[in-house]
Amino acid sequence: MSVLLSIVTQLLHMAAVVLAAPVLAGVVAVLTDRIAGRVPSTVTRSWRQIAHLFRKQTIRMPGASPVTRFAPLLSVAVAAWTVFLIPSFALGMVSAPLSDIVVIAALFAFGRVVLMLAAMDAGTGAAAVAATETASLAVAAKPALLLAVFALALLAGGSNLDAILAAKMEGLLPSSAATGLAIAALAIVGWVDRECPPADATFSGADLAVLRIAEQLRILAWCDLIGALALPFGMALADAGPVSWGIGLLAWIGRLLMAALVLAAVRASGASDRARTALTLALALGGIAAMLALTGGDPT
Amino acid sequence: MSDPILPLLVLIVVALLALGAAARFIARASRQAIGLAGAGLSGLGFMLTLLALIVGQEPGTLVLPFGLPGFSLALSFDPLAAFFLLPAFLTGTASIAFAAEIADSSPKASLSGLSLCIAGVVLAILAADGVTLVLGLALAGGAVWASGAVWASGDPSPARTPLLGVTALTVLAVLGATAASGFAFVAMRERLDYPTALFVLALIGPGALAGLVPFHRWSIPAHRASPARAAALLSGMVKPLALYLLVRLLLDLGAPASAGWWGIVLLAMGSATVVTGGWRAASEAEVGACLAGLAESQSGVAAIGIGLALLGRASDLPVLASLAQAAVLLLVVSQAVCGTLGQLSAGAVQAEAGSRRLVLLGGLIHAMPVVATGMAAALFGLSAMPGGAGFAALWLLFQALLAAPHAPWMALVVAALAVSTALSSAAAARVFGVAFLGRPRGPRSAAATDIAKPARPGMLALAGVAVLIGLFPGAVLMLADPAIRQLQGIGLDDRIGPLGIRGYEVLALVAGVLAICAGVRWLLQRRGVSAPREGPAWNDGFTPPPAWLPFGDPLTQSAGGGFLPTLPKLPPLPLPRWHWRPRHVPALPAMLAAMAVFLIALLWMAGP
Repeated sequence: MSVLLSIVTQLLHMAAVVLAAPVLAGVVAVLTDRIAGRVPSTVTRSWRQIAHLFRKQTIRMPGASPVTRFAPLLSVAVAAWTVFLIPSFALGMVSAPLSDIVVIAALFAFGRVVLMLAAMDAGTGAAAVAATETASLAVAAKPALLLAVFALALLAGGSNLDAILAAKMEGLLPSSAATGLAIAALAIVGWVDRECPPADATFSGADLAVLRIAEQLRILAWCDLIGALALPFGMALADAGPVSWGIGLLAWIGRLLMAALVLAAVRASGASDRARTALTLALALGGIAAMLALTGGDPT
Repeated sequence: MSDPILPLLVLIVVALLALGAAARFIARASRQAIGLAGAGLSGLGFMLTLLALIVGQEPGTLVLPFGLPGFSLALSFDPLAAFFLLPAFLTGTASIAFAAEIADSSPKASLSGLSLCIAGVVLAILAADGVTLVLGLALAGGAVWASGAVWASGDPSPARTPLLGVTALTVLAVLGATAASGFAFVAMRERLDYPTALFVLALIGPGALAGLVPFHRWSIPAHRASPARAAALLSGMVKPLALYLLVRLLLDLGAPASAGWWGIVLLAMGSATVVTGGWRAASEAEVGACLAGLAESQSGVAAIGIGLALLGRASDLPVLASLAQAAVLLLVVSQAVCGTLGQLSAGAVQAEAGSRRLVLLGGLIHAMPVVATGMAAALFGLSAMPGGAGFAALWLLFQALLAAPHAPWMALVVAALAVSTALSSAAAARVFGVAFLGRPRGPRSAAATDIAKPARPGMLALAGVAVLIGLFPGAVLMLADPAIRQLQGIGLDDRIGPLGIRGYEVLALVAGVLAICAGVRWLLQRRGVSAPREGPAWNDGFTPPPAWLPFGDPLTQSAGGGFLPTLPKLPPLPLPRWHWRPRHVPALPAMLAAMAVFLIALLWMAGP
C-alpha cells in the first residue's frame, strides 16, 4: 500500500512540477514588471511565446554537429530529472533513495556544461563568450554550492535530500546558524546560476522552445530546493493520504510564491551585474557554514 | 605452489620480456605479428586476473629460484595486486594493439618498449619484496624513458631527464623504505616502528611519480614533450603504478605503524594537486597537456582518498577507511583507462590534424568521429560529470569526508575538491569544445581524416570500457572489495551491488534522463514540429565566412582562453630564484651523485 502511495505521490509531483514551471516563470515576469514600475505582462505570456516558437521552423547553422542536435533534449531531460528528484509537497516518494544532494548539485552543473558545448559548437563569438563566462563563474559557484551541501549533509548525517528535509522538519539539524548560512549560500548560487549569460543565441524554433522549458524547469528546481530546505513546513509524508497532500501542495505553492517575489525583487533591482561579488559572498557563507558544521555547534 | 595463477603470470611476464627483445633484435618479425602476440599476452593476463578475482583466488606466494646473493626474489598474488593488475593489463593490451595498427617511424622499437613496460609494471605489482619491486620499476621506467627517445622524431625528448630523475627517486624511496626490514614485505607488515624518514621517502618517490604537489613540475612538460604513445604510458600506466606504490607502502606495509598526521600530509598534497592540476588542464594550450592536467588532478583526488584512509585507520573508523580506499581504487581504473584513451586520441589528432595545439584545431567531430568518441569518453571519465567514473569516485570520497573526524580545516579539502570539479568540467568542455566542435581553424584540421580503419574498433572498445566503468561503478567495486577487505578489515558489504552504489544509483539516473529525452523527442515528432532547415543563424551579427576567408575570421571563435576567472594579483613570494637547466647539467653524473647521496643517507638511517 505504501509503495503504491509513494508511486502516486511521485506521479502527482511530476505532473505538478511540469505544470508549475511555466506558471512560476510567468508570475516572476509579472512581479518583476510590477516592482520595476513597468506595464505588467500576463502570466501566460512566457507560455505563449514558447508555443509560438514551437510553430516556427528550426534553423540550424550549416556544419552543426550532433551536439547541437541533442543539446536541447539533454538539457531539458537533465533539468526535468533534477526537478523530479527534489521533493515538492511530499517526502518519501519513489525517487527518495535517488535524491542525493551531491548528485543534484552535479546535475545543475552538468546542465550548464551541455549548454557550453552547444555554444562552442556554434563557432561564433558571442556564444563562445557566453560559454567561457559560464565556465569561469562555475569555478567560484561550485565550491560555494558544494560547501553548503557538505554542511547540510554533515548536520543531517547523510547526503540524501529526503533524509535532510525530514531531519530539518523535525528540528533535528543541530546547528541552526550553519543551516541558515548554508541555505543563504545556496540561494546566492541559485540566483547567479539564473543570471548566467544566455548560451542559446544560436538556437531557434522548437530547439529554442525546448531550451526555454529547460530553463524554466531549472529555476523551479532551484526554488524547490532552497524553499524546501529553508521552510519545509507542511510537507506531507507520501503515505499520509490526500488531506495532508493537499496541505503540502498549499505550502509548496506558498513557498513558490515567496520565491517568485524574491526573484522578481532581485531582478528588478538590477543586481545581475554583481554576480562575481555575490559569489564571493556565497563562498564565504558556505565556508563558514561548513566550518560551523564541522566544529559542531552554534557560535553562541 | 598449489595455485596456478602466479606461475602463469610469471610466464606472461617472461613472454613479454622475450617479445620485447624479439621486437628489437629479430629483423624478420612483422609488426602485426608482434603486436598481436603482445596484445594477446596482455589480454590473457587480464582474463586470468579477472577470473582469479571473480572466483576469489586465495593469496599465494612464489619464491623465484634466483635473486641477489643470499636473497631470492619473491612474488605474491593478493587481492590488492590482482586489482591493480586489471587496469595495467587492460591499458597494455590497448596500447600494444594501437602501436601495431598505426604506422610509426620505428614501429618495432615502440612495440618493444611497450612490451617491456607492461612486463615491468606487472612485475612491480606482483613483487613481494623491495628488490623485485625495484626491478619492475626500473624496467618500466627504463622502457618509458627509452620510448620517449625512440618515438620522438629526431631530437632527444626533453622529457627524459625529469622522468629518469623521478624514476630514480622512486626506486631509491622503495629501497630505502623497505631496507630496514630486509626488503621482505612480510617482515615490514610486522614492524611497529616505521620511522618518519621512511614515511617521507615512501611519500616523495611515488608522490613525485604520481605528480603530486610539490613534486609535480615534471609531469605536464613531460607529457607535452613526449610523443603520444609515451604520454599514454605516462598517464595510463605510470601514474596508476605510482598510486599502487602509495597504497602498498602507506596503507599496506606501513599500516601497523601509521599515524594520523600522515593522512593530513597526504590531504594537503592532494588538495593542492587537484586545484593546480585542474587549473593547468583548463589553461594549457595543447590537448595532451590538458589531458595530463586532468590525470594529475585525478592523482590528487586519489591522494586525498589515501589520506582519508590513513586518517580512518589512525582514528579507528574502518567505514571511513574502506570508503576512501574504494574511491582510490575506482580512480585508479578510471585514470588508467581514460588517461590512455585520451592520450591515444590526442596522438591521433596530432597525426591526422597536424597539431595538438587547440588554436589550430576545431570542428574535428565531423572529420574524426571515432577519435571524437574516444576523446569524449576519456574526458567524461576524467572530469567530474554525473554518470562518469570520476564522479562516482568523488561521490564516494564525499561520503568518506562526511564520515571523517570533524575538524574545521576539513572544509578546505571539500573546497579544493569542489574547485577541482568545476575546473575539470571546464577543462573537459574546453578541450572538446575548441578542438572538436565549431569550425576548423585551419586547412589541416579541415582536411583531417579519422584514425586508420584497423585501429577504430580498438578505440571504440576502449571508449566503451570507459563508459561502462562510469555506468557500473558498483561492479568495479565488487572486484575491488577483496582488496579493501585485505587492507581495512571490512569491505563495502551492502553499500555496493552489481548495478550501482547505494545512494548513487547511476543506472537509474542515466536511464531516467535518456527516457525523458526519448519522451520529449517523441512528443515533438507527434506534434508535427516542422523539420529543421539549414541556414545561417542570427547570432549578434555573426555572418558566415566569406569566400576569401574559408575558415572565417579566427577571432570570432573561442581559442580556449577565458575559461578561468582572473585571480587577484598577489605580491610575488620571496622565494629563492632557482634556474635549473637540465641541458647544462650532465644528466648521468648528476644522477649518480644524487644516488650516492641518497644511498649514504639510507645507510645512515637504516644503520643500528
